[in-house]
Amino acid sequence: MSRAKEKKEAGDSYTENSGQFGWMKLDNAAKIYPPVTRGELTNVFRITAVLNTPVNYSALDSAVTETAKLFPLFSVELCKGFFWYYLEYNGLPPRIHHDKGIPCRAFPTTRGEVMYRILVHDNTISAEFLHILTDGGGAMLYFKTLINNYHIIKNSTSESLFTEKSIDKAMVITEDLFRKYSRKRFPHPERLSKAWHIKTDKQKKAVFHTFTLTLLSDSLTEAAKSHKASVTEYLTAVYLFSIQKLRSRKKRGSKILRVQVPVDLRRKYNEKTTRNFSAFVLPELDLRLGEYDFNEIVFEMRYALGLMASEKRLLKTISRNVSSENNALIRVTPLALKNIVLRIAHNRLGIRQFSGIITNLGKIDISETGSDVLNQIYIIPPPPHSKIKVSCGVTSLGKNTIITFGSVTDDNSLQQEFVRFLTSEGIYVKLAEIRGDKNGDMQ
Amino acid sequence: MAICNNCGIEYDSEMTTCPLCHGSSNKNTTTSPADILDITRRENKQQLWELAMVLLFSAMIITLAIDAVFGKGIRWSLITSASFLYLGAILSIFHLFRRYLIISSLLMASTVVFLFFIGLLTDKTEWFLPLALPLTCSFFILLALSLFLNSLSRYRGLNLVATIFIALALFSIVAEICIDYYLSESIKLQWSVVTAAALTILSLILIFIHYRLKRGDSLQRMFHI
Repeated sequence: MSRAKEKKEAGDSYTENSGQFGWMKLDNAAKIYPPVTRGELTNVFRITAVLNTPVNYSALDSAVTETAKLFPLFSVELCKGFFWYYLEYNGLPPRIHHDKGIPCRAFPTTRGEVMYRILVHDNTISAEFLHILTDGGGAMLYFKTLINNYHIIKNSTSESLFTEKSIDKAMVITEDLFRKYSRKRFPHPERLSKAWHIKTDKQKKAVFHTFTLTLLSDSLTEAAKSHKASVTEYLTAVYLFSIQKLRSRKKRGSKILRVQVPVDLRRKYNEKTTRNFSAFVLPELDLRLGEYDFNEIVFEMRYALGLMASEKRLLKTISRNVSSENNALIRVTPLALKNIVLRIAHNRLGIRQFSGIITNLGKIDISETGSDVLNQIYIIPPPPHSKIKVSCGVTSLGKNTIITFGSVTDDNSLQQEFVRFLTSEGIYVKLAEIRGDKNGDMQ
Repeated sequence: MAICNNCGIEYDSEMTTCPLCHGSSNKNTTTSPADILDITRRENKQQLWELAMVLLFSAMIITLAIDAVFGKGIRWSLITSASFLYLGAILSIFHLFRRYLIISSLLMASTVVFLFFIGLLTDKTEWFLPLALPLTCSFFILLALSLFLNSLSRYRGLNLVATIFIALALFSIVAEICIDYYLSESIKLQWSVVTAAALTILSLILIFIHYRLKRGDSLQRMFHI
């Protein structure tokens, strides 16, 4: 169906909503993405659900249309202003594509396109989002609503797949919550030193490898508890421990290992929004003090993550980011020039600060019906910057926790170290290349 | 319900092909006589270009032959042949290239060469340097600039007409400068200023309509800081 026809069909909701939304400024977190989105750095992430039966196209098509009406802030396209990018409401639902097994591909910047898409293959439904639109929390909310609507339409039932309520009108707020919570003249976080980056041979051509580790949630929680840590703290520690192993082999470069861990601010501030509303904390290991054993790293993570994610410390970061946006000189700089400055700032100040990224979307609570319908839900993080090389996403559904690695290098050393450590802790790990045929168990 | 062999999804049996991949894996690969006419757009374009080239070349040969036989020498047919070659060059440029900057540059070069040959064939080349060269170059540079600005625009409409008007305004000034200099070796801008002013005002109105009235938007979205 042509986009013009789709727009005509979406006419009612378009007319109803266009006056309300019209155009919107990008939220504070989204502002960095348009200038740095290019080439392999697509800033697109994916959430996938593996169902127990093949996907029914008609039911999915109806569910996509219905869900799009509940998320009007996603029916927007990115436009260029003279000073800033902005979002313009177009009332369109996302396109449904056949999933050909290449995740997180870039979005076209043509007119009449939205910045998210649905992909289907066999018994999997995936949704891909450009980070400009939303973060993992907002995307997960959309995805759960979509899957639930699909189930309701397909099986003509009213039973929900998830235990929590998925969406209400209160979430359709256009306000940039970063601005709401930022404080003027608030101290900024200290500038961080350069972190060590994983060293690999130069890639001859661009790649994006993804593979998943399926773990039993109970054994993972047990392992985390044995170190008196939460799952996020434990996995961050494993991630840092694996990076430390690689650093000790190379023995060159910065002695600071730091990982970026996103924090969902919706929970912190008890807010409901489908726009970006998350911040990052950057726990670190300083190898100038000597190498750490795993217990020391978990200990560090327990306290560092707790401290860094405190409301006041997060406010420092939020206020710094918003004050940069408010800077008069930056505001009056034409967009073309601003893009260059932001790209340099992103590379110099953003990427250099951390060695890896780990994001945990947490536990997805499903009902009894949900466990019959859903097999897996996992996230594929956006392709990382060529300096970062490997990123990691975590989700838990039912008995399983799924860890997904997205890597822009053929070198799997970090993933190997990660798996090796988990298995050494007695955690059962099932390894699978996404949509690939190289499956295998590791114990 | 039917299941697609390629995507593995379920779709209604009433649908003839899978709505996702349109049955790409199940395509009939046998060729029937009717498929001979089923050529791609690209092949079609290629064949049309070849046909045009054959026709132009034939026309050139015919005119040269007529001139040689009936005119007892080759005179006027050189001008028609140059025109055919120029036409062939234009068609080939559009056929072979896609980037507007390359197309504009090659069109400019071929037009300049064509006009120069016309001057040589008519034994009058004094108009080439002061008139033909600057006018041709300015026309194609302004054309390329308009196309470039148009490519930057996300929403094309009246803003495209406004760009063309501004390009015409500039071209009229260049034209008067060249003509004045060619005729009297002094420059005194008169009609072109009036034309340029009128066109500029018109294009400003069109830009205003395009960005504010037609789309019913405030200019704030475009210029918010």
